[in-house]
Amino acid sequence: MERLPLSRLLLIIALLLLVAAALAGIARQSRRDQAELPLAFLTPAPPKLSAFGFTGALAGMRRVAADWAYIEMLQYYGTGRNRLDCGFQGVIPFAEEIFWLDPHFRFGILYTAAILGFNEGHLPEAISLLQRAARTDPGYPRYRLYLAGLTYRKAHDNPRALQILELMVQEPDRPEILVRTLGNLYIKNKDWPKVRAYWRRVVMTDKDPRTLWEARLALAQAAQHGY
Amino acid sequence: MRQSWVIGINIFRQLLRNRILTVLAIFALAMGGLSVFLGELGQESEARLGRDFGLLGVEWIGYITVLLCHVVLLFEETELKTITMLLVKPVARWQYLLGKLVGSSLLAALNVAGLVLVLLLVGWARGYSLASLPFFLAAFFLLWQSVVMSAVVLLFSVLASTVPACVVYSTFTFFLGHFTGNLVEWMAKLNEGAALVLVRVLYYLLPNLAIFNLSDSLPLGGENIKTGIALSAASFLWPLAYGAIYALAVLLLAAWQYQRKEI
Repeated sequence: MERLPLSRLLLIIALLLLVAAALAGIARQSRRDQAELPLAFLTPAPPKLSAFGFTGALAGMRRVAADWAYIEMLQYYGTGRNRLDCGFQGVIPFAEEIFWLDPHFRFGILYTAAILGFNEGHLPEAISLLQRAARTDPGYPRYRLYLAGLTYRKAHDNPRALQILELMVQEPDRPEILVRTLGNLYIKNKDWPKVRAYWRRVVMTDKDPRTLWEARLALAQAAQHGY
Repeated sequence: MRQSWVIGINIFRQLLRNRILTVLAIFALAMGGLSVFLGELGQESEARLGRDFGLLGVEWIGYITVLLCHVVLLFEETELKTITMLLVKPVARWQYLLGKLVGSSLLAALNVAGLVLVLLLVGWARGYSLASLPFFLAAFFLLWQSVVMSAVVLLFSVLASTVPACVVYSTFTFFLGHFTGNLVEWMAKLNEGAALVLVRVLYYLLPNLAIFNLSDSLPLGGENIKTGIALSAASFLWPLAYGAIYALAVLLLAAWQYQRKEI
């Protein structure tokens, strides 16, 4: 090292940096050909993008940024006064941000679509989100199932929408909000025998505290109607 | 080589005696706690959020470990003049630098392993499992990134000679190393000729840390699978080779600068 001429040393360093650059290019390409989130600006950014989402996308931490947007969406949806915001309309930009940051965040996309479509009546936005998600991730059948449920809902074909929802609820890792939505639809339809049977099954199988709390309320309501 | 290894082991011991590990262990626990808190906020996505924020903690712990190691060693060298005792012995300066790289990397490995263990235990206690090959691979690649960053911080510790300057340069490089890939693409889209050239130069000179981030490209736990295609072994080896070659280039540069430096 001490006896190496300066010019030769600098040449070696330059050569090493060149080889490193080539290896970095190969590494990125080999992974991009197979499975990787797209780079930040390959797809158009959503109209509303949080500072954290923007920074996360630029810094190559899209999963973490999508997780953060998902938490923010849950916080927004969990705040009751936001219902005054045209029925939780603020969920829509969060849904777009989550989908842009991580189009393979399946649970987050299904959850936001379920909130928008089944709970808050923002059906066009929920359907559009699911259609894009199904195009990006065609190997995942659950998007199509949710899409079918929402399409029937949009066409006011409630019996068919209910049938699809019943199928969705049977999936092992479905969003918990669907379980409550289906039960509340039975209550809305005043189908008290079904309300009783459904919520009793939920009490026996479910572990989510909020769902169990709603189950107890629903069973008390059914009891008031003689069931 | 053997001398560098012996220096590395002694530096590792010295860093342990400096109680640096205690500070880092507290920080690691805080990161573990943060991942639990954020996972809890994520409700049904707790496992995914715990894993993603946990890996972010692994990355930061790795970087902060190597940064603290070199900063502490730089302070001792410049203020306490401990280096003179070593350099009067038949040890070449490059061997000493290589020893520092070995010592800091060993400490980073210890910390990363500790945090991974904390994350596994937290997952077990909360009812989900993180123990999967993709998770361990992602953590290993983040450790490899820490080794590359250790070489970069080593270079800055030679160039900067004061502790704050070393911290600022290194941290700036750490952040830029994450951004350059996207910046190149952004400038190309904006069709900014001069800026694109500048960003491209930076892209090739700075460490490309994005390629060590497997969490955005690996199917971690089955949730983020893109069409179910598994990655080939080669796609794991290229980043490792890149890290080794880049670290070697930076180490040579640091050794050259250190050779010229008056101590």
